[in-house]
Amino acid sequence: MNDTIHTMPHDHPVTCRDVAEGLMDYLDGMLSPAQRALVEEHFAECASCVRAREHYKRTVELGRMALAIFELPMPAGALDALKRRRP
Amino acid sequence: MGEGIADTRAGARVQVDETSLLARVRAGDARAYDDLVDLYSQQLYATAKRMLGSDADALDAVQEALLGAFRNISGFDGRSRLGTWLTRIVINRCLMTLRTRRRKPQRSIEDLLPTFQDDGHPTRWTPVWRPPEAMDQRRLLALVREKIDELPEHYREVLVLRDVQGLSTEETARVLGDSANAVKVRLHRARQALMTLLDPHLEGEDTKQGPPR
Repeated sequence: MNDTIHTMPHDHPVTCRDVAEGLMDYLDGMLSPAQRALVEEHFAECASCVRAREHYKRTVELGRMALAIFELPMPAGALDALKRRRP
Repeated sequence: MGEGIADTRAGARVQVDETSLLARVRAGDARAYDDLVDLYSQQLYATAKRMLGSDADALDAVQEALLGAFRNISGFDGRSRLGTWLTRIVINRCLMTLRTRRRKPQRSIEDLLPTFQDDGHPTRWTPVWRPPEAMDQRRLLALVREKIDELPEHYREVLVLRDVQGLSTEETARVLGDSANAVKVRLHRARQALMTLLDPHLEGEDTKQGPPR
């Protein structure tokens, strides 16, 4: 696949490095079926990569939540201040 | 274009006749500027605040974006919602601010990426993280926010645009003037780096593991 981050092997077992590099494509469903199967074989044997996969997903979610809490009302008086400068 | 929907204060949603507002802005009606501020400043502020962190900088970005949009309304081609167009403008403003702001020396992303031995094994096994329920959520999110701020700027901006602002890879690439592939690589690196920064804080006390070999 041209737009993948890393050239994930598709015909021989993948390493922890391959999995780390290809994790986003794996989670986004961008790997070929053969590559996906190899990554899943690796997960079946490597607890460290399974943890990395789960931490990655949790990190994305935490990042979203951490910044979404800034969905706050503007500070008091901001609307008036914005209108004070005229185009 | 029919009726638009804009967020206003306190999350209330009101129907806005975008067509008539646009006509008034195009006619240079000064009161139309006030309506733009009323209708769009809250959602633009939320975007700017996420990108810049500081209230004052976020409000400056909103001010400049709204003034710029009002003066250059001819640049709005009507193919998107007015709110979407304004959001793009405020994102560009924020990017300019981020790029002129050299708050502190940028750390290298390389220092924050996982490292591997020649055979592809990691130099350190992935630690076990404490489960979410074992942590105070507010403190955790404040920590995550702090760590996002520690990411090198080019990586932080991609993370914010893609993961928080919800822009597509292609849209992020257009805003940043980069290729879609560059955006993907940077997003992946940004997430990996954030994970590394969170590691020492989320690692379970009794589950630390040394190097695999």
